[in-house]
Amino acid sequence: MSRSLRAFLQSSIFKKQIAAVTGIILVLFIIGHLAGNLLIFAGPQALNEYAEKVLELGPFLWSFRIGLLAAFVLHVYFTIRVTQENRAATAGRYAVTNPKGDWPFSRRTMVYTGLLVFFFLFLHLFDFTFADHHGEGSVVMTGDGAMNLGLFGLVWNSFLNPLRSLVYILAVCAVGLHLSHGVQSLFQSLGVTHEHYTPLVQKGSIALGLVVAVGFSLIPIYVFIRHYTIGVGV
Amino acid sequence: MTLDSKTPSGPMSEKWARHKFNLKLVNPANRRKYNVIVVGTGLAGASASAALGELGYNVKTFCIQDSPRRAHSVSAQGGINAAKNYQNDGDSVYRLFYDTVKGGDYRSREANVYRLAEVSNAIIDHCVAQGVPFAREYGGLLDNRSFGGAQVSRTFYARGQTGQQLLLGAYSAMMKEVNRGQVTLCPRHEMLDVVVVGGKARGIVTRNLITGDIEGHAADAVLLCTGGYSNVFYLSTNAKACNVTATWRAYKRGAYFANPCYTQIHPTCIPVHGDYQSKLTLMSESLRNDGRIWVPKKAGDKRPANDIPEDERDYYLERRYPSFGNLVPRDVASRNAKYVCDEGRGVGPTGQAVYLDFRDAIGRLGKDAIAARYGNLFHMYEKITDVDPYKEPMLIYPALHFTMGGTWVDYNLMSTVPGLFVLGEANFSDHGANRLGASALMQGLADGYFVVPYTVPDYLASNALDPVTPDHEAFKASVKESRDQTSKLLSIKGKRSVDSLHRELGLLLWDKCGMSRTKEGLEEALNKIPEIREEFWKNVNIQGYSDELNQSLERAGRVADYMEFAELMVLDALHREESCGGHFREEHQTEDGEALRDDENFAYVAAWQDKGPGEAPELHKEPLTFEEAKPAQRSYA
Amino acid sequence: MGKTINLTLRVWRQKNAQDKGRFEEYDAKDIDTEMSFLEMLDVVNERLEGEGKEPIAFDHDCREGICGQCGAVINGQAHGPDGGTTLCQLHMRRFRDGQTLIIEPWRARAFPIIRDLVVDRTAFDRVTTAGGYITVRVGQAPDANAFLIPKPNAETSFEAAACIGCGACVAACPNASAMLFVGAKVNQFAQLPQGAPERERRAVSMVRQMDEEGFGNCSNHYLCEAACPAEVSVENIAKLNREYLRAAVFSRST
Ligand SMILES: Cc1cc2nc3c(=O)[nH]c(=O)nc-3n(C[C@H](O)[C@H](O)[C@H](O)COP(=O)(O)OP(=O)(O)OC[C@H]3O[C@@H](n4cnc5c(N)ncnc54)[C@H](O)[C@@H]3O)c2cc1C
Ligand code: HEM
Ligand code: HEM
Ligand code: SF4
Ligand code: F3S
Ligand code: FES
Repeated sequence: MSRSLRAFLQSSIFKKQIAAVTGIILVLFIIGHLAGNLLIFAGPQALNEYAEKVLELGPFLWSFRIGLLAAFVLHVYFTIRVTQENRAATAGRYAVTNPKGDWPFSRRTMVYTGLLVFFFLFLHLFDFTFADHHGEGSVVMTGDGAMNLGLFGLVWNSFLNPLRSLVYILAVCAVGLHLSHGVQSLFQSLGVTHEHYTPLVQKGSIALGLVVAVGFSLIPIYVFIRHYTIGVGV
Repeated sequence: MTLDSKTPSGPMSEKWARHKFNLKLVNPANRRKYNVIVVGTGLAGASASAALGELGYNVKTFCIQDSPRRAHSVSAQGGINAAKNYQNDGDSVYRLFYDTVKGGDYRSREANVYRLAEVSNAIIDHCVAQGVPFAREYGGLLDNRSFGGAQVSRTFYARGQTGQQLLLGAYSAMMKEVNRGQVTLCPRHEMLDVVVVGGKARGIVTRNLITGDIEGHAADAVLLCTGGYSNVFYLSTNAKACNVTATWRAYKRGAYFANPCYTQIHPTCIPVHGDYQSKLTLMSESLRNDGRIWVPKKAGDKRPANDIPEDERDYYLERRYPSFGNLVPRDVASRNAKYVCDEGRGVGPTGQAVYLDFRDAIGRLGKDAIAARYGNLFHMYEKITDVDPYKEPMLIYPALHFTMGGTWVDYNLMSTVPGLFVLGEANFSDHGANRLGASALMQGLADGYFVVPYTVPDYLASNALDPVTPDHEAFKASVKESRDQTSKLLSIKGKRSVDSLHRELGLLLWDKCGMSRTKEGLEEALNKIPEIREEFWKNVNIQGYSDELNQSLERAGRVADYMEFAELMVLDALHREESCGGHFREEHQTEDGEALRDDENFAYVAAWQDKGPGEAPELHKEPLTFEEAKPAQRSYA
Repeated sequence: MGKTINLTLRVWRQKNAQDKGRFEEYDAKDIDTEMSFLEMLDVVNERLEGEGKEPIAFDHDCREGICGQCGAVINGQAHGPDGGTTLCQLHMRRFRDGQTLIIEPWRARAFPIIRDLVVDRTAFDRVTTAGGYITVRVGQAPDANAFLIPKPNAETSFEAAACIGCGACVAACPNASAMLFVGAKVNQFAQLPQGAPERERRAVSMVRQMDEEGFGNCSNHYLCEAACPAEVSVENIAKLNREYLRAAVFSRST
C-alpha cells in the first residue's frame, strides 16, 4: 500500500468520507424504501406483491442486506468515533454558546438524530422484518370480517397503536432532520462542490429531508385516519 | 575607525556583478558547520533565513510574535516595486535606481540603490514562483499600478494586502527550510543583547517571553532584521511590538547608528481620537488620487463639513501647488496639514485633522466607480470611525510610518561590528532621507534573498572563527546585565504605567522632532528627554514577575531603550543643519517653503558611535558621492 | 470623542498552562465608545496596574486586522459579534451601557492556554512546516510572466491566501477543527500551476500534521466561516476534501 493511501486510511478526512459514502448508500435505500412503502396507498395487494417480489430476489436480497448492514455499521462506527475525537479536541468549551452565523438545529443535532434512528431501527426491525408476515399480527377486521392481509396487515395493525405511531413519526422526523443536513454535507465531505450547483444541492438536501419526514409520517397518519373513517376496505 | 563602505569600483551597472565574483565562497560540505542567527522574521529576516537555509547553513531564527508569519511586514498594503517594465512604459533598472536616489533626496549610497534596482526583477520572479497571488489581468499576466506619484506603473500588488502576501511567501520558504531541518525557529523570544567576542559578533542574548528565561545563543554570524523604530513616537502606523531594542543594543556594542533623524511621515492616516489611542491606522495613499484635501478658511469653524459652503473651503494643497495639487509627495502633504492645524483651522473633535473629500469625485464619476476603486478602504474607514465616507469627508492626519535611519552597514550589509549584519528597515542603507512608496518591501526581500546569501559566506570564509559557546564569559556577562535590568525594572513599583511614560516621550518627539523641526525645539527636547527618562527609572509601575509571560515588562524594556535612543535621534536632527527628505528644519527652506538641502556641507551619512554611559556619541561621516544621479533641488510648485 | 459606557467584564484569568483558571469580574467604567476593544483592555489594565494587580494578558500586534495575533471569545463569539472583523478592529460602540461581557481565550486542545487570553498556536506553524509551501529555491525561478494564471484562479487563490492565521476558525468550530485554515493553504496552491508538482504531497502531509496536532474533524458546521475575519470560505474545505481524496486515490508514493 502506498504511503499516501495508508495515511489516508488513518486520517480524519477518511473517516468523514466513509461516513459520506455509506451515507449515500443509506440515503438511496431510504429513498427506495419510502417509494416502496408508499405503495400502501395503493392498497394491500400492491404492497404485498412488491414485498414478495423483493423476497424473490433471494441471494440478491441477501447481498443487498449485507451491504446495507455493512454501510450502516461503518457509518455508525465512524461517526461515533469522529464524535468522540471531536469531544476530545475541544478541551472544555465556552461559558456561553452563542456562535456567529447560522447554526441550524439539524446541523447541531446530527449525532442525536443519528442515535435516535439507531434505536428506532431495533424497534422497527422487530416490528416488521423479523415479524411473521402472515401470522396473527396480519389479521385485519374488514367489512367482510377478519382477513389476513399479510405484510400490509402487519403495518396496518402496528399503526393502530397511537403510541407506536408517535414513535415512528418522531423517528422519521429525526431521519428527515439527519438527511436535511446530511445530504448537503456529504457533497461537501467528498469535495463535490461548485459555485453554481452547491446552492441547489443545499436546497435539495432540505427538500429531501422534508419529503422523507413527511412521506414516512403520512403512513401512520393515513392508517389512523382511514381506520376511524372508511375502514380498511379491500 | 574610519567608515569603509566597501563600495566596489567600476561602472555602476557592473559593480554588483564584479563584487559577487570577488566574494569568497564556502564549500557546500563545510556550510553545515556554520551557525547563523537571524533576528526577525519580517520580509528581511524570513527571506534571509530561507536563503541561507537553502545554501546549507544552520540557521536559528528569532522573533517576538507567536508565529513568524505575524512580523510587522504583514501590514504593508500598497505594493512592491520592480523594474520589469511589463507595461512598456519606459521603466528600466536605471530609472528605478534614479527615482530612488532622487526620492531619497540625494542622501543614499548610489551603489546600494543600484543593486536594489538590479535585483528587483528577480524578487518578483521568485515571489511568483512561491505562489504569491499578485493581481493579474484577464490574459493571465501580471498587473501593475503606479504608486506614490511614480511616472511609470512598476508596482506589483495583491489587493491591499501586498505585505501580507509577500511575507507569507517568505515565511513559507522559511518553513520549508524548517522542515528540512536547516532552520530552527524560536518565536516569542526577544533579543536583548548582541554578544561580541574578540571583536566579532558571536551571538545574542534573548528572553523567552513565556518562561522569562534569559539565555545566550552562540553563532558565527548574526543578522539583525528587526525593523524600524517609528514607535519611539508612541503613536505610529507600526505594529505595537516594533522596537529599537535590537539595533540599540547593537549600537551599544559598537555598531554605529546612521541618520536616526530620517523618519517618514505618512499624510493619510486616521487621526487620533482620544488619549487612550494605542496606534494609528494608515489609509492608502491612493486615496489622494480622487480625494480633495481641505480645511475651513476660518480658524475655529466648527460647522459640520457638509454645511461649509464651497467658497469658505481652503483646498490648500491645490492652492499652493497648482501643478501637483493633492498628489504632492508625502512629506509636503504632511507638513502642510500640520501648518493649517497649527493655524487653528484643523477639523474634527481634536482639531488635529483635515478633510479628504470625495464629494466631487463621486459627483463626477458616480458612487459605483468610487466604490470600485476604494470600496475596501471606505469600508475599513467606516469600521474604525463609524462615519460613512460616501456621505461625509474623511478625516485624515499625518502619522509616523517608516524610518530611513538605522544601523550603519557597508555594501555587504555588515555593520561596524564584524559578523553583525543588518537587513531591511533596521539598516540605513537604501532610502536616503526619504523612501519611495513600495520600495521598503523590495529592499527587505533584496537584502534577504539576494544580498546576504553572497556576503555572509564571504565573511565566514574570510575569517577564522574559533568555536564559542554560551558558556563563554562574554555571554555570561551579557546575560547577567540583562537579568539585572529586568529585576531593576520590576523593583521600581512606582506610580506610572509604561504606556503613559512612552506616550509622554512620543508627544514630545512628535512636537519637536516630527514633521518639522527647529533648533530651539530640538534643544528643548534634548533637555526634556533625560527628565522623562529619569522619571521612567524612578516611577514606572510594572506588576508581575520576571519568570512568566509579562507583557508590561516586555514593553518597559523596549521603552527604556527608546528613552535613550530618542536623545540620539534629536541630536542627529539638531546637527543636520539642512532640510532633506523627511528631515525638515524650518530654518532651512526655500522661499516657497520647500526643503533646502545643503549638499556642500551635509552630503554625508551621519554615523554615530556610542562612547559609553554619560559620554556624548561621536559622529563619523561617510561622504556621499553621486556619479550617476546628479543632485537637483526638488520642486513641486 | 464618543459617548462613554460602563461595562462589567468577566475575564478568564489563568496564570500559566498548569493553573486551572477561573473567571474574574472587573468593572470597566467610562469606556469611550470610540475605543477599540483592545484599547478598552489597555485602559482596564492600566487601572489594574494602578491598583497593584496583574494586568490581563492578551496577544496583539498590528491592531489593524492583518497580523492575526489578537483574538478572544466575547460572549461566545470568536473575535466578538461582528462578521469579518478581528478583535482589534472591534469597537466599543458595538456594546450597550451596562452590558456584561464574558471574555475567554480560544479553547481547543491543540491551542493550550499560556496565560489569561494568550494561547499557543504554534500548531499552525507546524502544519505549515509539513507542506504549506512551494519548493523553489532562490535563484531557480523563471520569469514571473512565464506562468499564465487565469484571473479567476488568481482571485480564488488570493481569497484563500488572505487567511491571517488567527485561529478563530478553530475557536469557533464545535469540533475545534482546523480544516478552514488548512483548506485555505492547500487551495491557495492548488489554484496555481506553480503548486501542481507538490499538490498531492502537500495535501497528505498537511492533513497528517493537522491530525497529529489534535485538532478535531470537520463535520460541516460552517461556524468557522462565520467567525473568520478574512472571510475565508468553507469552499476551501470542500476543495481540501477533494484534493485529499484525489491524492489518496491517484498519487504515486510520496
Ligand atoms: C501600515 C504600513 C504600510 C506599509 N506599506 C508599504 C508598502 O505598501 N510598500 C512598501 O514597500 N513598504 C510599506 N511599508 C513599509 C514596510 O512594510 C516595512 O518597512 C518593512 O516591512 C520592514 O520589514 P523588515 O523585514 O525590515 O522588518 P519587520 O517586518 O518590521 O520585522 C521585524 C521583525 O523583527 C522582530 N524583532 C524586532 N525586534 C526584535 C527583538 N528585539 N528580538 C527579537 N525579534 C525582534 C519582529 O518580531 C519581526 O519579526 C508599510 C509600513 C506600514 C507601517
Ligand atoms: C444509526 C445511527 C446513525 C448515526 C449515529 C448517525 C450519525 C451521524 C453523524 C454523527 C453524522 C455526522 C458525521 C460528521 O459529519 O462527522 C452523520 C452524517 C450523515 N449521516 Fe448519519 N447516522 C446514523 C444513521 C444514518 C442513516 C440511517 C442515514 C441515511 C439514511 C444517515 C445518513 C447520513 C449522511 C448522508 C450523513 C452526512 C455524511 C457527511 O457529511 O459526509 N445516517 N451521521
Ligand atoms: C412509517 C415508516 C416506515 C414504514 C411503514 C416501514 C415499513 C417497513 C416494512 C413493512 C418493512 C419490512 C419489509 C420486508 O420485510 O419485506 C421494513 C423494513 C425495513 N425498514 Fe422500514 N419502514 C418505515 C420507516 C423506516 C425508516 C425511517 C428506516 C430507516 C431509517 C427504515 C428502515 C428499514 C430497514 C433497514 C428495513 C429492513 C430491510 C430489509 O429487510 O432488507 N424503515 N420497513
Ligand atoms: S481561516 Fe480565517 S479564522 Fe481561520 S486562521 Fe485563517 S483567518 Fe483565522
Ligand atoms: S465549523 Fe468546524 S465542523 Fe467544519 S465547517 Fe467549520 S471546521
Ligand atoms: S492585532 Fe493584528 S489582527 Fe488584531
